Amino acid sequence: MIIGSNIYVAIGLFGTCGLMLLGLFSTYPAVKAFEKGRNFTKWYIFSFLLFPAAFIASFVIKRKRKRLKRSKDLKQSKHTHK
Amino acid sequence: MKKKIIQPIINSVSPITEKLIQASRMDEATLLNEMNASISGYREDQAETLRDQYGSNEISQEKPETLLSRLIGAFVNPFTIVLFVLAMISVVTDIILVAPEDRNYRTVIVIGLMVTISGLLRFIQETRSNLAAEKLKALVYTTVAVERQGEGKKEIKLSEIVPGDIVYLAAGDMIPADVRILISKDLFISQSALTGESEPVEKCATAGKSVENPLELSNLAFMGTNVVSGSATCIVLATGDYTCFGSMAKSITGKKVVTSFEKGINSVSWVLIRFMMFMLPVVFFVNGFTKGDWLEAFMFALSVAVGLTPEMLPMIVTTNLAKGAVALAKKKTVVKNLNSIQNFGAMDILCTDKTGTITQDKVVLEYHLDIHGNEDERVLRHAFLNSFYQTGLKNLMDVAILSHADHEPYTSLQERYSKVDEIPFDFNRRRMSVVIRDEMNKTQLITKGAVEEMLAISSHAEYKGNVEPITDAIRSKILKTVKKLNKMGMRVIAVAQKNNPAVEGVFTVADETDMVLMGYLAFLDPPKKTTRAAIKALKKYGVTVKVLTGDNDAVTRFICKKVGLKVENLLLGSDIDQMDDAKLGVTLETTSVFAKLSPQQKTRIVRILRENGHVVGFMGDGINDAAAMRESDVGISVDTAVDIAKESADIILLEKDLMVLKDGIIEGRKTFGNIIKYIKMTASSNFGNMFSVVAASAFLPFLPMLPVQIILLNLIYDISCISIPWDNMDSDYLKKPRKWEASSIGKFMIWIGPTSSVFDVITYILMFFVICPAVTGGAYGAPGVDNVLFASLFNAGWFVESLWSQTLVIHMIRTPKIPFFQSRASWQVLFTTTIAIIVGTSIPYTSFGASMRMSGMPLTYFPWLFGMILCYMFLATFLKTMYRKRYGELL
Repeated sequence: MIIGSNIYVAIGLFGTCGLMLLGLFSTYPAVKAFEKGRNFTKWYIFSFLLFPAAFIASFVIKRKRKRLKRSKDLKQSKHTHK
Repeated sequence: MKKKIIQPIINSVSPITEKLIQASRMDEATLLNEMNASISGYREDQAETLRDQYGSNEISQEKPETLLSRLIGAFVNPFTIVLFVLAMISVVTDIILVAPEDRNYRTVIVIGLMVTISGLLRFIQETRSNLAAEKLKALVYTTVAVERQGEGKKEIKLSEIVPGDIVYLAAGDMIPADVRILISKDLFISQSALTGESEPVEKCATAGKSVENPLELSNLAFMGTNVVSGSATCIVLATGDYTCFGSMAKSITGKKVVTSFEKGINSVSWVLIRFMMFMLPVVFFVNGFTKGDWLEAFMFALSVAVGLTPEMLPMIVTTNLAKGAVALAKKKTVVKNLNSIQNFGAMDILCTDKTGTITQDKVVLEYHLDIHGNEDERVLRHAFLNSFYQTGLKNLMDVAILSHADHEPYTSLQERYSKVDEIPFDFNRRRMSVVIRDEMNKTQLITKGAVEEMLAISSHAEYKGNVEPITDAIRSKILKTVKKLNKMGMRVIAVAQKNNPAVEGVFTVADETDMVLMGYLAFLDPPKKTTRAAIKALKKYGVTVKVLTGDNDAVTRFICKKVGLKVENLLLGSDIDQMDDAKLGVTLETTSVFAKLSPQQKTRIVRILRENGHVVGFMGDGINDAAAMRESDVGISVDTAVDIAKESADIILLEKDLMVLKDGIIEGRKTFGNIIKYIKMTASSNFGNMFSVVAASAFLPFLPMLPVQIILLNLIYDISCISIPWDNMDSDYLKKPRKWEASSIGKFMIWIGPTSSVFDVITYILMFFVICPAVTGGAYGAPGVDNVLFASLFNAGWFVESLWSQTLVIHMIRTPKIPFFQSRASWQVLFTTTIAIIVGTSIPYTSFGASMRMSGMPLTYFPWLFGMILCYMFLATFLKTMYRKRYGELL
């Protein structure tokens, strides 16, 4: 029962609860992006600020290939072209 | 690790040192006269009288603590001190400063109960483990050879030595007391326990230069040191507390180097205490400013501080370690140092000596051959004389020779020969000699030792009575025969002799030249029955076994093959010496077998492996293993080991079954798992509570829980945690070595902590806006609403939810699996947590609850509570999964 005198309590508690839930669920896109080779902290902040966008982006982004492997692949492709 | 801090040597002239110096300068007859002793020793009754007079040969510092001091020790820790301070503050604010009718003893009583339960449990567990350990320790004791009149040379316990006793020392022996050396032969003593000097010092029967420091006197040897090589006959000058070691014992035995585990526990304790110290003013000021009642705000902050104090941590740690020690004691394994149980679980590399550890402690002499590989009785005869007359450390091969030749014509050889002298074994020469004289007065030097070393000192070889120079062809034939025997798994040593070697009485290592090689002895050193299974089990549990032996590569390969140990690279001691630490560090990672190692090389390998970040165990039984055992994180030995090896070990196996190693590792990991479980649970719960309390303090018009209710909640929760040391660990958790990582606690706290806070805040919302208005008939502060009933209902609601979530967190955090379905806690944990929930939920409905200012919630509260708890479990499982994906594992 929210009345005028306890609106401050309502805002405070609902706000805290919302922020906490957002903070906890933001781990999901961040972990997903981390598994695809992205920086966890950066993605967590992104997710906390723009959860829907980060959530979708974490599904869309491609797995980051390791630089070493890529450079090897590049060398190989150069050789094949020759 | 467990190593004692080395204190500087005695550098001032104390009465003890003065007496020792005087004794060192007396001639033998005067000294014996002064001590009322004789070279033929005391009679047993005389020794007993002297024991009554001087007491047993033990250091007071090493005697077990009294019951009272252990009881006090169990109660003195940072947490109980914090609780005591809080109780004192409560005495002032709740009892002294208030009117008699308003006096409230509840807070003090509940804090007192918490301290009592934690301290008493710790005391009981420590006493239990001490009793079990003492019982087993009594089975592992060190002895010394002493001369007793009428009985001759006999072995007695170290503690039974008295001043004036004549004792015999050999390589591997601990010096039993402060002694004056009467006769010595190539005696080298390691005084590192007293001086920190790692190199052994040579001691002899003469005093040498005049010095003020008795440790520098060459004819004195001291308790706490040990014989590295050589032999001696000595007279005991001082025992027990009257020895140099005894006089320094306070400073030596009192302080131990803190292990990484202890450091970790201490740092976590202080982080949690600092956390509490930070929260105290925050909660106090936020409540004071928002609610205006500063006394109540102070009491609330104080209660939050009590709630944030993990007072059960010392009890949980001790109980876990003690439980591990008791479990291992049942498997006939003595744990000398409690913390080593945790190191056992953390160990990822086990270095082991070969002979006597992975092989049986019974070596059998299979062949005695001439240089061409034919059976030769003369070789056995010479070997028998060498083993029979040597007075140093009789190793397994000496025992095998003596037992093989335990019949005529060998046994009567002692009547025909008498001993003239001996040159004891050492690990650099890897050989030993005796000089004997026959009835014709002919002296003969007989040497036996490692084949390469024997070839180096032999210029001739004997075959069928003919002595011929050792040519390259003969040398290569000898080595070929030896290699063949080695490949069959035989350990081979060579025997050589020399007639009329030198002037009698002054035989030295220099005489071991130009010898005539007679042949070799081949021994079978079969592996223990359980070695193969134990190595397989260790591999399964993530422990890599590395063999570090002084024996040669061929035999080592054979044994490794027999016990199922894949030989990935094999390095010899000489290869190691050519590598610097950096190169060796890399090579060690891919090498599993090391042969022909000296004690120093073994120690170096262990040190570098530790520097590479491994937790290294070392299992050995010989004098050459002692230093490596000290260098390791966990030293393991067997009860048949030499004194110094047993002294250096943390864990002693009383039975030959090596499978106990697996049990130890599992026990160590269980211990660590249950400790880390409590720490992570407490840290995350405290971190979460911080959010809940700050949110409540900032936004609620009254306290979410009264101070006394918080303390009661904490008491119930603490009691539910008592069973944690008895909890199961998932079998997956036990499969990997577990190491202390402080950073993982912080990460866990940040990830998991806020989960319960979310439900705390949801409970606030539910109670404030739904349940309490439904019972009281309106919102808080609205006209006609009983605000006191509103607040007491609210308090009870959060009290119950908080207890449920805090208790259930034990089940959530203990496993990465789904609790109750995929992984169930032990019955003890299930029992205590269920009881805690039942008791806590009932309290608001009792008169006790009413006296604590709680009101019973309506039944409509419970569907909400179940729903919230279910959601909480889902959310916690979600976060556990995320955490594992991010960091690989939960605990």
